[in-house]
Amino acid sequence: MTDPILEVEDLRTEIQIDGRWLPVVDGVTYSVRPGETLGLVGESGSGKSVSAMTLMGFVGRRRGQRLSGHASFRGQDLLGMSERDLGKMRGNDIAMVFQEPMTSLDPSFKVGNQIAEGIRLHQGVSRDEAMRLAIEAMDKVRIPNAKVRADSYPHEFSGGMRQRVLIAMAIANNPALLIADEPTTALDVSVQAQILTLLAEMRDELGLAMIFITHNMGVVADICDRVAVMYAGQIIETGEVRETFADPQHPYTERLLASMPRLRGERRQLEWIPGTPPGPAGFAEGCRFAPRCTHARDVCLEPTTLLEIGGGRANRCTRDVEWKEEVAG
Amino acid sequence: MSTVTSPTVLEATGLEVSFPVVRGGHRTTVRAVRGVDLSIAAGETLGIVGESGSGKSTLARAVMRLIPAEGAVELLGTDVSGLSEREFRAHRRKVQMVFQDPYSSLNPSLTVGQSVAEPLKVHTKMSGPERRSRVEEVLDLVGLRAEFADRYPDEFSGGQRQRIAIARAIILEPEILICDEAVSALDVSTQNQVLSLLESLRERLGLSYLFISHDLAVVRHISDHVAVMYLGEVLEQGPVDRIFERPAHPYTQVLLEAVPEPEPELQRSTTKRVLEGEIPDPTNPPPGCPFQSRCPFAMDVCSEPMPVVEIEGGGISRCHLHTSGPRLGGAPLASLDDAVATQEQQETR
Repeated sequence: MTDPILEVEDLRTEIQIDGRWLPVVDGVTYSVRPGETLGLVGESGSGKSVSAMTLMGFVGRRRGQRLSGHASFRGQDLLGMSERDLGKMRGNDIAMVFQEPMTSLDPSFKVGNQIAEGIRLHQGVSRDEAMRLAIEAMDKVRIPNAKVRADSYPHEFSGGMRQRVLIAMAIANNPALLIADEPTTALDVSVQAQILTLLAEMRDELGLAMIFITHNMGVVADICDRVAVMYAGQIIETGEVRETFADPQHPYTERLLASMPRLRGERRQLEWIPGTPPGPAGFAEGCRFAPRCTHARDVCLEPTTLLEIGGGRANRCTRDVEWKEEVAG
Repeated sequence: MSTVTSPTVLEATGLEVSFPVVRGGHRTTVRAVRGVDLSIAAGETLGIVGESGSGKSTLARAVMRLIPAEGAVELLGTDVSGLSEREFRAHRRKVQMVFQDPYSSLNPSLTVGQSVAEPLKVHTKMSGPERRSRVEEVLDLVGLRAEFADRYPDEFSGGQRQRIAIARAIILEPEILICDEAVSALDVSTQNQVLSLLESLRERLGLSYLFISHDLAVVRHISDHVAVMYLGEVLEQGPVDRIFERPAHPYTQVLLEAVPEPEPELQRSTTKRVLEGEIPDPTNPPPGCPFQSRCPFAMDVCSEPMPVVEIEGGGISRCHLHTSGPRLGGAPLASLDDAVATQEQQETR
C-alpha cells in the first residue's frame, strides 16, 4: 500500500466566544492515500467542514481562533506553513470544491478566463497556453462544447454544469489532493449522480486522494473507501466503508444509519436520535453523545479515546461493543 | 386505481400555470405547470417528486391560489377556481402551507405566540384570551411547551421552528396541509422527528397532505400516492408501493436509480444508468413527451402527444412504451394491427 499523502494528527481548532475557548474540532486524526477517498460524515455542527477549513488555513489563524496538532502533506507541515506558502499550495497541490457552485464563481467573468487565471497563477504559463489548458480541463470534466462554453458567463450554466466548471478549476493544476465539501448537496439527484460519477472518474484517472465531506450516508456508500464519522468535534468511529456500514461499532453510527429513510425494502417506522447535537459550548463531560444515547451508563462520564480495534478501524465508544447486546433484534 | 372510499378533499383538473419571461430580448411564456390532474382523498398524502424546474412548487402555489392558474380546482366538492379573491377567502383556511426554510418563514420580531395566532386574527373573531388558549393547544399538539409562546423565533432550533410553522398552519383546522420541502433543510434525525409529527397529526386531525419534496426516500415514507413531475407535467402517478417497487416510466426508473442508498455493496455492484444531459429549456419544450431528449428508450412516436396508460398495480404512466404502439422489442405479433390502428388514430388527431 502506498504511503498516505496527508496525515492529520490530533487536530484541534478552537474559537473564542465570550472569553471562552471552545473546541469546534477536537483531536481529529486521519490520513488519506493517493487514489483513496475518505468520507468525513456527520450532522451540521459536527466539525467536519471546519476540520478541512483548518487544514486549508481558512480557520484557526485569525484573532479569536487558534489551532494545534499536526498536519503533514507530502511531508510538509501544513499548520506551521506561512499563509503565503499555504496560498500557493491551495488550488495547486491541494484543490477544493464547495457546495455552492453559484457563489464560488465570479459572475462577471467568463468561466474560461476564471479557470485560466488559476492556471496562470500557479503554473506561470502564457495567457494562450492557460486558456488552452482551461479548455482541456473543461473537456476532461465533460462539459460539452468546451471551447465555446469557455466564453460563457457563470449564469449561463446550470447548477450541475457550474459544479463541473468548479471541478475543472480544481483539477486544472494537477492537484494531488481534492477536498470536496458537500459538492453535491445543492444539486438535483440525477445531477448528483452525474457529479459523483465524474469525481470518481477524476480520482481514478488522476490518482487523486480525496476528502469527501458530506452529511449523506448514501453518498458515503457510493464514493468513499473509508469513512470517519464525526460528532461534536470528534471522530467517534472510523473504518473501511463496507465494514463500518455493515457492522457499526459506535451507537451514534448505528443510529445515524438506522435513521436514513430507505428507497428499497420494507417501509418501516422512521427512527431518530432524541434531542439535537450539542454546540461547542454545551459538550458533555466524557462521551459527548451520551446525553442522547440509549446505551449510556455511568462509565460514559469518563473521558473517551478513539481506540484502534484492528482492521484499520477505531471506535470511541467507552462501552466498546458491549452496547450491541442491548440492541433489540 | 386505489379504491377511494373517503371523500376527495382536493381535485385539480387541467391545471395550467404560465409565466411571461424575456429570453434573448423576446417576450415569451414558460408553461411551468402543463395540464396537471391530481386528487387527494381525506386523510391521504399525495407526494409530488421532481427535480428543479419540474414545476412542483409552482403547482403548490397554484393550488393555494398564491399565483394565477387556469384549470379547475375543487375543494371538498366545491369548485373554487371561478371564485373571486373575496369569495375564496372562506375556503382559504381549508388549505394551509408549510415552507422549507424555518429561518425565514417566521417573523423574528413577533413572539411565537403572536406568529401562531396570526391566522386566528385574520379568519376568526376570537378574543385575545381565546386565541391564547388555542395557541397553547396547538403548541401542545406539535410537541412544544405552552410557555414557548412568549419567546422569539431566534431562540429555537431549525426543527423547533418547523414545529412552530406547523402549529401556525394547523391552527385554523385546515383540511389540507401543503408541505413544500418542509423537512429539506433539517438534519436527518430532526427531519424524521418532524415527519413523524406530520404523520401523527394526520391521524389525530384527519388531515390530508400534498407533500412536495425532491427527496424520494422521504416521499416514499410519508405518501400514499405519488406523482412524478418533469418539466411541468406529471409523467407517472400511482400508489406509493407500486411507484417505488415497479416504476413504469423511464424517468421514474432513472430517478430512483440515481438516489445513493447507504448500502456500499449495492452502490458498487449496480451498474448505474446515469441520466445524461439536462432538463430542456422550459420556454421551448419538445413536442410530445418532455423527457424524450434524455430518455434511453426515445422513439419517433415520443414527439406525438403523450398517452395516458393505466399500469397494473395502480396509477398511470404517460409513456408510449406502455401502449400497444411500437415497442423496443418483445411485443407480441398479434398486437401489431392494434399498434398500427393506434398510430393512425394518433396521426389523425
